[in-house]
Amino acid sequence: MSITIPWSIRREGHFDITDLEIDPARTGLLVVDVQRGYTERHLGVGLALEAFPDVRDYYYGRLESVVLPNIVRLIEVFRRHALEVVFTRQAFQMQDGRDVPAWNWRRQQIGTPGSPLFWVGSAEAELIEELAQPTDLLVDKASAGPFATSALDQYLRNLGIENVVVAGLLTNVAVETAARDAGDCGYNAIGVEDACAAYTELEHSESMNSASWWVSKSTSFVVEMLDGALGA
Amino acid sequence: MRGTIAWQTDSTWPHSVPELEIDLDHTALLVVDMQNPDHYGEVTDNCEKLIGFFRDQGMENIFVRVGYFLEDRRDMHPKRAQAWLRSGDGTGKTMLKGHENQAIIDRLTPTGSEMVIDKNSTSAFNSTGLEQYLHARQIETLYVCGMATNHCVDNTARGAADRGYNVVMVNDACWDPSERLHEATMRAFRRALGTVKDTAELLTELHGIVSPGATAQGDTQ
Repeated sequence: MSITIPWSIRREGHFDITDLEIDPARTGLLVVDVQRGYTERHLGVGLALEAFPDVRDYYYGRLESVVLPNIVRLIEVFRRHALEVVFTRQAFQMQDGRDVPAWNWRRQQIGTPGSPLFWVGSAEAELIEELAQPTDLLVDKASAGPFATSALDQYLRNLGIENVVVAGLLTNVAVETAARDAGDCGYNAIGVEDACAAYTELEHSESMNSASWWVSKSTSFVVEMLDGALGA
Repeated sequence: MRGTIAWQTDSTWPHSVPELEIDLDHTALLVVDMQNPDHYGEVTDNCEKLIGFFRDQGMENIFVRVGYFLEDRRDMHPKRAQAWLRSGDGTGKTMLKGHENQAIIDRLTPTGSEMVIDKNSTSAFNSTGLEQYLHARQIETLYVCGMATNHCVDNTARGAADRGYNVVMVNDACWDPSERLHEATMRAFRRALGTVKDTAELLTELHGIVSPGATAQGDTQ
């Protein structure tokens, strides 16, 4: 079965596609880095953001009032249609972090309060209990995007996923990198505008505008697309 | 030859790391998609300066070209094959490998011993052996220039940062039809993924590592 959805990639006249035929049953949800180190005000990056109250108030405000409720909605609709929900985590395997790329991260940030990098065994690496199920695929990564340091591409193909719906944190870092790589590898990649957050509104909106081989849609669009095609 | 460069110097931003030690013996310039015809103005000038500096220092220049390998374009993913218009003018100008539009612009022509890598995707890491080459050459740090900033340059630079390379985006040696999207790419890199410098700034910094005793007089000779 296939449906046609509006698909707009426009870069000042480049790359115009106005609609795209997809098989809705081959849709998977990729929930990026929705883990305690990024979602709890007094854990993980929350410690660093204490020194940046404007960023902190914007980020956690949007996360709690908009993003997390929409991620709950997305997960509910994917589960209802027996579609895959795949989680990624920012989680390195070795406690001293030497399996993390060397640049600014390993040398300077691991072990410092508010570091955005988390050991797999830490509270900051834990997923939100209500969202993930033991039967979901969980992919740990030591990079911003999930494709470079995991076998996610192979897993998605094993799962039969052609359309990747991306939600999570942070919009312009891990989420955008995931969506860019997914689109570049040939997946139909959809970033969910109101199920992602960055540290500032500008970063978020510019990221969603800069879609290269991925597009930006709303939670309601995704829910209606799946319910409409697969039965509410 | 090791030296320290300024890195994420914005102290008003979380997670900033002010400086980073790099090794110029393990550093390369990555020139992304600077292909015919040349309408990139000062960006081409700056790419030429960077290429010249790296060449003079015996450092690696690596050129990436975008295009496709089969006339009917089916070697690209289907959306890309369908929509791919190089010039945006609706003519669907060919970027078939071997065509003049797929060649590096004259002023930046690689020497016979500089690597040229052809890709048919946006990121050079998603359709080439670039990563293997960087590994073989033991590259750790990449200066990245080229076009378009928010598209192939951004995807390639994210791919490099994700794989552990130190990535320096060269702001005034990258071109994008949208100034706003150019800035969006640079903002993300400056804050979260690597660093951003202008050509003159980084050449001064690298000259300082290569010739630590040199004074400003040297520049006037």
